[in-house]
Amino acid sequence: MSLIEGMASAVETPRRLARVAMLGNPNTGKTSLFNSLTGLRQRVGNYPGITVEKKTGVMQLGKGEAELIDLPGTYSLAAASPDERVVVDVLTGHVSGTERPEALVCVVDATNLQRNLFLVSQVAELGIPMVLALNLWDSACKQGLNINVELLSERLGVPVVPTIGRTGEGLPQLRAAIVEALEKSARMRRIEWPESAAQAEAKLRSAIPESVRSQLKELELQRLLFDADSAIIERVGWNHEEAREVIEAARKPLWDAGVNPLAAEALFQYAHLKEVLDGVVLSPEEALPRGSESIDGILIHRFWGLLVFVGMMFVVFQAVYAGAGPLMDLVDAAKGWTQDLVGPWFDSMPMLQSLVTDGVIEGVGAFVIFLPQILILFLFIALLEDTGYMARAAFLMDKLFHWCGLNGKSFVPFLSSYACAVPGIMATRTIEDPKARLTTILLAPLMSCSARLPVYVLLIGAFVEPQLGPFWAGVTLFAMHFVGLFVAVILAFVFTRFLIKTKPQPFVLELPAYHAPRMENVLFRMYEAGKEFVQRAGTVILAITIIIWALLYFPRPADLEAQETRAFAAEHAQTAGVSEEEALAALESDEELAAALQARIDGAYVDQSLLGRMGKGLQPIFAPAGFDWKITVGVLASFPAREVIVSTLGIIYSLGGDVDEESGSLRDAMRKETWDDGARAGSTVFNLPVVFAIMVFFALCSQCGSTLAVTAKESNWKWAAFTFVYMTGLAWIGAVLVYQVGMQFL
Amino acid sequence: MSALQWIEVAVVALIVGGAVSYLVAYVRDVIRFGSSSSGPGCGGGGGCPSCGPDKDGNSN
Repeated sequence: MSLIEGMASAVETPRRLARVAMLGNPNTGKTSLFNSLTGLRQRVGNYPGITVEKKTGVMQLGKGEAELIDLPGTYSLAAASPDERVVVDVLTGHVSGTERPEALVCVVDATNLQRNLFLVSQVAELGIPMVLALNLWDSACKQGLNINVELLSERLGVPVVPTIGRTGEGLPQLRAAIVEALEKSARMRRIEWPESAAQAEAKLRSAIPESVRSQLKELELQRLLFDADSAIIERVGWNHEEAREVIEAARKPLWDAGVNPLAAEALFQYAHLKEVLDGVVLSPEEALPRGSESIDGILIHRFWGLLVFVGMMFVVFQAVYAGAGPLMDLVDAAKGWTQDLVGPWFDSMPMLQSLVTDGVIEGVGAFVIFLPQILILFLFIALLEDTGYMARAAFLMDKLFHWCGLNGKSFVPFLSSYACAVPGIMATRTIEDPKARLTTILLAPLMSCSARLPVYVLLIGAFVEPQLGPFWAGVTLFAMHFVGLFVAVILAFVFTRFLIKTKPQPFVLELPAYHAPRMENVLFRMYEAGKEFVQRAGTVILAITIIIWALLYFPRPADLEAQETRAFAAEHAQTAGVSEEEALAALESDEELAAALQARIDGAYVDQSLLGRMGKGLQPIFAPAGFDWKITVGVLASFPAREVIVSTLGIIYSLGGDVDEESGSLRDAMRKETWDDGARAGSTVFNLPVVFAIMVFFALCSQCGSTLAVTAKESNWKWAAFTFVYMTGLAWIGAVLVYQVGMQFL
Repeated sequence: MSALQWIEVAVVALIVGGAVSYLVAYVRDVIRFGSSSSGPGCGGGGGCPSCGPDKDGNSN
């Protein structure tokens, strides 16, 4: 019985799956291939003790199934970054909870075989059964490359399968090849090392202390010999001084042969691969990606490229703003309909009715209304990534970042942070220089993440568009997304010169060929972002919403309603010139007066609630930025997660009687809000300087618990505290400046 | 207070209490792992639903 059939017939518990690992260089379409092989049956976690993402999935193999591990993309096994170290550790079986794979799927870019096979040839030293996936096969065909697959398979000794990850072509053959590799233990032919390398390796093996040698695999011996500073020394607990002496002595045969040991592996491997590929790739002179090159003449041009980049971002944000309107109206209508439907169920329980309608439905609804914007934003992000444009954007930014002490490598974490700072900060692990990495970690939260989008859209839709028109509304949304990047560039200049002194490192980036985006990938990205957003609405946002409702609802003094009714009747008696008894009687009969009284009572309850009192107590801190106590409460409630301000304002205005079926949406209620007292008494709270001050505050402030926790994990709590203090301070200064300067022009 | 009002108070207390305990657990997860299982990303290290058991076999 074969291994796969064995797996298929295995009894349910415990089900033993074959372990297959997928590895390859970055930008080889590995992730597309992984997604196509596993579908939605994926699990994302982390490798123990480190913050490198571990992505696994289950794939169908013949009659059975196998676990597929997607290893981080790497160019070689010289483990310089945490990602690369993980690849070596998984392949050698040194990761707790992750057994050594039984087979490998090596994904290579068919348009650049020789360079991609360098990693594969290194991995061949492990002797693990292997399949070679010639991915991006369509690009290779377009470039006129003619690859003799059979000959390549024969020379390497392993199955070779052409694949197109984006469309799923070649997947059945790939699955069959994995089964074949597992059953026949198809191992790739190893390089025949020249005498000098073989001698050096033998010398090293004999000189290493037994306690260390017993922990090392053949491949790791080579890594010690060929790499400048291997992380393996630390893992096996070998004394650094002793290790350096032993390794240097073992390298002598290489020096004697006139070869620098640190360049030896590349020299020998490329010579070997040249022989392997001789006659396999025909018409190599056709290999140039002509289409991509001519487009890149414009897209990575120092002037035109930047112009196209800015123009493209402008179009994206205009589309995000304008395109979501009708869908937002639909969600808003659904929210109102739900409130109307559910409210009467609790007519005999006013407290519970308030919790459900003013708290849960209003709070969560005010948040969910921004789902269309999130979906449209991620549609564009996925399109730009899938076409290969994002790599060009990183290349363009390199010059700017070089000026401020970083390099284009920091752009990728910054770009990820536009979706969410958490994966953005994790993406910094590809930066080898620890100081440049720390600087990037500290600045990534300044990028305008998708949680800021609801805040911007609410304020722009309520105040900027009605006053300045739809064009300037789009411009404002576009500009708000660059405020953080602008401040980050200035701060990077300051940090890298005075705080975390570092110099820019050289930046090497592979520009992938352009592809037509694959709709499945784009939709999957939108689905993931939408799911995440709705999941958040149903969990954290819901919990915070309920707590904020309680803080705004309690206490409920028994005599407050009577007091307010008497005060209202007295005021009405004075203005109408009637007796108080007549005014009280009018409240019973006049619906308009009764509604005004109810709004006053609701407002009075919110005013003296726990959160109301807290907001009024702390409002003086934000008074220089023009914030009233309600905005102050929104700001304070948003420190765990910034998007909570939308729900909080929804509840404040709903409980205060400002948002109902008569008065319309939260936007209308905010437009009508006026100052009760002070220098601006009677004037509207939300004028343009206040609106821009709030947006700048949210653009710069550290209001995300998850981001701070990840910052601490990737650096330490001292730097997380520093991030919180500098961002919050900067946000307050920015908001005050915008408001004070803006008021000069009103 | 009538029986209905007692029931109302009990239900509201239960919902608010549930929200508070959920949030406390969420914050604890965020501090411990970098995110909750319901939040984005993960600080790793094992012991949470996404990472599986930690090196001591603990799992929550």
